[in-house]
Amino acid sequence: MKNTIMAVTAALMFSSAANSTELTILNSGSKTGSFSMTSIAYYTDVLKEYDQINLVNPGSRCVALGSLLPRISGPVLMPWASDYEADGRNGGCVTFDIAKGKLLRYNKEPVSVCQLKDTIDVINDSGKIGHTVPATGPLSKASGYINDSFGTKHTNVVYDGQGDTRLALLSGEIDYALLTKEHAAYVVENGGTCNYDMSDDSDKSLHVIDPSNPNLVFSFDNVWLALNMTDAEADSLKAILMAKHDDCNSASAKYTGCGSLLDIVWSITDEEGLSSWELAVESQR
Amino acid sequence: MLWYPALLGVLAGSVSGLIPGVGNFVLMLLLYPFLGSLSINELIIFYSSMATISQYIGSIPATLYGIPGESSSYPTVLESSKLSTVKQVGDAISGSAFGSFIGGVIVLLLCYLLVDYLELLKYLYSTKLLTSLLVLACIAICVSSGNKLTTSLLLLITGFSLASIGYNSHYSVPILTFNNMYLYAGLPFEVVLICLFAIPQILQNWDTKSKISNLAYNIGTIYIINPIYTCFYTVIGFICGLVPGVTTILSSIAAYNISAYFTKDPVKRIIASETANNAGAFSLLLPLLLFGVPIIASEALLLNLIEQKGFVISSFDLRSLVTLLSINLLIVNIIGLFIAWPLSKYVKYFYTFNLNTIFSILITLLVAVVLYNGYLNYSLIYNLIVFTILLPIGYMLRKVNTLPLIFAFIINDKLIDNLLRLPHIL
Repeated sequence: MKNTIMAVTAALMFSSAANSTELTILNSGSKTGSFSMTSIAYYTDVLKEYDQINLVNPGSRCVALGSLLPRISGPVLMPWASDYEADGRNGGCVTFDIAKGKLLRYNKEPVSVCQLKDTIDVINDSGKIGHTVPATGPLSKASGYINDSFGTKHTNVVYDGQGDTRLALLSGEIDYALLTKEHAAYVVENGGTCNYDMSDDSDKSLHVIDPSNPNLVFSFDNVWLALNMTDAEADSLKAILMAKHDDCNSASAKYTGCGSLLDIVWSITDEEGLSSWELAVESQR
Repeated sequence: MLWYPALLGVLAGSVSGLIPGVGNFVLMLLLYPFLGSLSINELIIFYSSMATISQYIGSIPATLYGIPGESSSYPTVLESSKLSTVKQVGDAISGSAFGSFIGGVIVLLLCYLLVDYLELLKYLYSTKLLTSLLVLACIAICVSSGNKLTTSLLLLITGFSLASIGYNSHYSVPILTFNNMYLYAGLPFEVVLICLFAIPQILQNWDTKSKISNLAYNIGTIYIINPIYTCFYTVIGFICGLVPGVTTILSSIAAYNISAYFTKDPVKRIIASETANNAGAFSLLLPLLLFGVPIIASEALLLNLIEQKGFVISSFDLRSLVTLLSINLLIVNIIGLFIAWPLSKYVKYFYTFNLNTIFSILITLLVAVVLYNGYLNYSLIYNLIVFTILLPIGYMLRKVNTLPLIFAFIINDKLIDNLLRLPHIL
C-alpha cells in the first residue's frame, strides 16, 4: 500500500511538471506514418529552441483531437489532413475547424500511381490498385475515376498505411499503388516507377491525358497549425520551421528530400488556405 | 567494432529488459537529444544492440519471478510457474541464454551469407501468408494453452472483442466507443496487458515461486536442447519477427506453442520462446533497412533519426552494413550471453528481497507504468479507470492461462486488416 502511494505521488509530481511544457507537438496521424515522421523531425529541430518540448503521439486522430487537445492548455503544434476532415464530416470521429488555429504551413500532396512491372500501364492494363484505409475513403474512389476515364477494370485492395501498400507493391501482391511523393520515392529507389500522378498540371498528370474528368485531380492537403499561441509566438515558430526546412541538414529538410519531395507553401494567407482546404475536403467527401 | 553505440545499446537494452513496461520507444525518446549526435551506422548498431540485449535481460525476471521484463517474455512467465526445482531454474536461465545466443548468431550468420538474397523477404509480406500465420498461431495457442479448449476459445474471443473497441479505420466506424473519445483509440495496450496478464501471473506465482525463493540455482553448466530444435525455433522467430506490429511477441508465442507439441518440459518451452524472440530481434530491423518501412513505433523513431543523417535506400550499401552489424551484434550477443547466464547471479540481486516484497514492488511498478504512460499521453484518469475495471477481471482469471486473450488482443488489428483484404487478393 505504501509503495502504491509512493507511485501515485511520483506520477502526480510528473503531472505537475507537465504544466511547464512550452510547446507540445501533437501528432494527429498514425504512429508510423508521415505525420508522425514529420512530428518527430520537428521535435528534433525545435528541441533547442524551447525550454521544454513535449511530443505526444497517440497514433489516433480521434484521441488526439477528441480527448487530448482540449486538455492541453499550452502552445500546440499540430498537423491536420483534408482526408481526415472529410472522414470526420462524413460521420467520422472528429472534425476540426482549421480557422481556430494559426496556419503555419500548407501543402498539397498529389497522389502518384506507382508500379513495379514495366510491362503494364495503368491507363491500359487492368489490375489491382493498392491504397491506404479507409476502404470507403476518397482513394477507393480514385481507381473508379481511372476506370471511368480509360475503360479499365481496376479493383481496389486496401492497406493499413502507405508503408504496407509499398511492401505489397514490391512483393507483387498488387499491380499499382496510389502513394504520396515521399512514399513514391521509396518505390523508385527499389526499382519501381511512378509514371502518372493525379496533380492538375504536371507532365505525368492523368488529368492532362483526360482533361474531361475533373475527378482525376486528387491530392491530400495538409496543414500544420499553431494552437493556443499568440500571433508573435506563432510567427516565431513559423520562422523557426521555415529556417529548418531551408537547412538541408535539418531533420525536417531531410525528411522532405530538402524540398524535392514536398512543395510547402509558407506564405499562404488564412483566407487562401481556408478556401483551398475547403475545396480539397469537399472533393474527398 | 563500433563499441560506443553498442555499449549504449547494451545499457539501454538492460533497462528496457529489466523494467516491465519501459519499452524501447520510451527509452529512445528520453535519449533522443543524445542519439542525434550518432551517425547512421552508429544509430543502427545502437538500436539493434538495445533490441538484442532487452531480449536477453527480459528472460531473467520472467524466469525467476514470472515478471515480463520484455513484452515478448510472456511465454516464459507462464512456464516459470512450472519450474519446481532449483536445477530447473538454473537450466532455464542457462538454456535460455545459450539458446538466445545460438538463435541470434544463426540469424546473423545467415543474413551475412545471404545478404544478396535478403530482398526476397518482400515475398513474405503477402496477405495470404500473414493471414495463415496468424490464424495458425491462434489455433495453436488455444490447443496448447493448458486450458480447456472452450476456456481458451472464450479467452480468444474476449481478446478480440476487447481489441475491437475503438475506431475502425478500415471502415471509418466507431465500435463500442459510446461517444467517449478516449475509447476511440481502443483500450490502452499496457493496461490490458498488465491487468489481464502480468498481475494474474504474479498472483499465480505468489505461492509457487516461494519454493525456490533462495534462488540458489547453479550457473556452472549450460543446458542445451537438440540443435535441430534450436535451428527450428530460430527460423520460427526470424519469420515471425518480420510481422508488423507484433514482431518478437509473435516470435516467442509461436515458438512456445509449437514447442508445446514436442515437449511438456517447461525448461525446453522457455528455451524455445527465448531462442525465437532473439532471432526476431534482428529480423524486425530488416523491413526498415531493406524497404524503409518501420514496423514498430521505436523503428519509426529510428528511421527519422537515420533519415536526418541522409539515409537513402538506393544509395545504401546493405552488404557493408550487414557485415558491420554482424560483427557488432556477435559481440553484443556474447555480452548478452554473459549477462543472461553467469552474470544473472548479479542481475538477480536487482530482485533479491523477500519474495512477497518483490512481488509487491513489481505490482507497484506495474501500477506506476500505468500512471506514467497515462501521464505521458494525457490519459491518466482514463488509464486509471480502465485499470480499475480490468483489475478485478484479472484477479478472477488468475487461475487460467490468459495468453490466448492477450495474443488475440495483440494481433487483432493485423488479423482483421488481413482478413478483410483477403477476398480482394484471392
